[in-house]
Amino acid sequence: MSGEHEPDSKLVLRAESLARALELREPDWDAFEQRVTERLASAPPAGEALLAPPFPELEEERRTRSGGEPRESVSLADLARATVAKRAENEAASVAKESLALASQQRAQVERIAERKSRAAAQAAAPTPEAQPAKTQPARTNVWDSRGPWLGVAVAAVGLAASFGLYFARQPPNTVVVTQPALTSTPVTVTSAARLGEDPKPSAREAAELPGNAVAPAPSADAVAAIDPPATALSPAGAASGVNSERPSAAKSVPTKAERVVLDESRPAGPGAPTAAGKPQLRPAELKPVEGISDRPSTGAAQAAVGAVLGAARACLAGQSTPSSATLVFGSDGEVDSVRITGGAAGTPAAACVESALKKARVQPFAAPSFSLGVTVRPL
Amino acid sequence: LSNPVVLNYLLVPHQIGFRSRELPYMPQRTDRELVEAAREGDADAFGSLVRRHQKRIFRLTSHLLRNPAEAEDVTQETFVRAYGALARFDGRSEPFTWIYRIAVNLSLNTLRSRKNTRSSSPPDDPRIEGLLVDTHGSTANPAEATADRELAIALLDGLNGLSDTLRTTLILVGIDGLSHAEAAAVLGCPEGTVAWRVHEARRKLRQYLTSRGHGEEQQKP
Repeated sequence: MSGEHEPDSKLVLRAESLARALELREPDWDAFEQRVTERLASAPPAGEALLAPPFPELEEERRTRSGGEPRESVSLADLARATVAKRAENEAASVAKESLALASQQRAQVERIAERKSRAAAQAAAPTPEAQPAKTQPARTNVWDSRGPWLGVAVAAVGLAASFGLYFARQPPNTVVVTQPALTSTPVTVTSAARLGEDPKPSAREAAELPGNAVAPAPSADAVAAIDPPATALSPAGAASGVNSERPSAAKSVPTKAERVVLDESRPAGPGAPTAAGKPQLRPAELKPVEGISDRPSTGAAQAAVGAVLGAARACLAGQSTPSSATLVFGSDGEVDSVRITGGAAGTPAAACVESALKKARVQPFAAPSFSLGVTVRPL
Repeated sequence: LSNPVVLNYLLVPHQIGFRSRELPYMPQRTDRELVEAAREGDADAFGSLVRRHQKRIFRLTSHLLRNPAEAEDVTQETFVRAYGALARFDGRSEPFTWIYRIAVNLSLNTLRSRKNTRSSSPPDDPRIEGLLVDTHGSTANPAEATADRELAIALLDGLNGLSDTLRTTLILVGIDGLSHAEAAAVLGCPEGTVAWRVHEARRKLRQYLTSRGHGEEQQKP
């Protein structure tokens, strides 16, 4: 029976055998049996407690027995995977909320622009004394009643003209910059996710005012915060990437506070770049690309693309103390053509790892032949 | 002899209380047959069951309680309660494991009530007293007998330091000689749990014995 005890200590087994061999001082068994027999006639019924298992298996025993020591069996890799999965889950929910907020904001902007345009068109198309009373409700009703169809056509025509006029008058900086390929680069330092949200604000405003780009302007962090304050932790670009089904995890690795992303704004004029003669290319619509492709990736999109892979790149530098810099060159297809590593990791095996990680960054295809981006990669 | 229960008793004669009365001159009824007969009112059948298991139950309760008087009382109470619960024996387990379970539960009740009424351990320990009796001829070498005695006393002290769960499981398996399956049936847990508890108890006892100066080098082949 005790052959199942291996491989326990022989010392303990020997001690057990000694204890097993003990001959105890026993009672008089005949008298014992007689006493038992006498009591059987008045034997009380055994309660449930006496027949219950005295030591059933405890939950702790079951866990320990089936999986060894629970704390020791959880590896760091398992913990990391669980953490990443949980964070991705939370961020997916945040991205969904943010996307809804953006969509709501965009609708409001579209309505505002349409209203502004129609108002301007009405003012331009009806300068005559008959049109002046249109400001008041009764007069406007009369005008529409009598000349409605013709006035509508005129308003539409003037509106179109006004749109073109407004558009060329407020040409976005990127289209102007195209005519100056060697524009001095403007570094943009990002120190936190909240600041990532600040950057696209001017672009959003400009885009919102552009007639053709009103469908999907870059989002405003403030607007998002007004709807869902917790969602401001994510950059709008991250939200845009989250909406894009091809890159659902783009928002996973928004650069942390210590990371610095420097955007190189200089770019050559590409074949698809807008010119004064041709129809200008609109700024890329990050949520819903309308038509054509943009000249270059937007700031938010580039940040999100790099942020998505920056975590993996930082992991390559685990154990190192000095940060490294990487220059990414995106091709017009949106993929990374080359990565140049400088700093502490240069010339080490970690450089290949960082390069491999950063090469996974993707942005929307753009018209320019290339687009470069500087990134500071700090060790985890 | 093909019956494993009977074979078990033949192989472990020192644990058999009925041997002088029933073997080898009369055919043995199994525990189940005795239980069935006792259910039908055969008082002798239950008496046979008592004689067959009283010594084993007494050893168990003695190791659990470390008090001969309490051990005898609990052993007696075990059979009386078992007789009162015969109608509830469902036959899913062996009768002796069923009786063992009652004995363990009664012993635990006694230990709990003792804790409530006494603060110190009982002075008369049946196991230590038993150690003073030479039972396996080690007196030929007094030094060896002394070492055995000290080792056994150290083990008993170590057993006292274990939890009720580990102590009871190790007494059933290591000292009383039950298999893991039998101990599992008594305790109401899986065999794997019994094995784990035995391993844990032995690991702690090994540490304890080592701390008491009983190193592995003192083992005998």
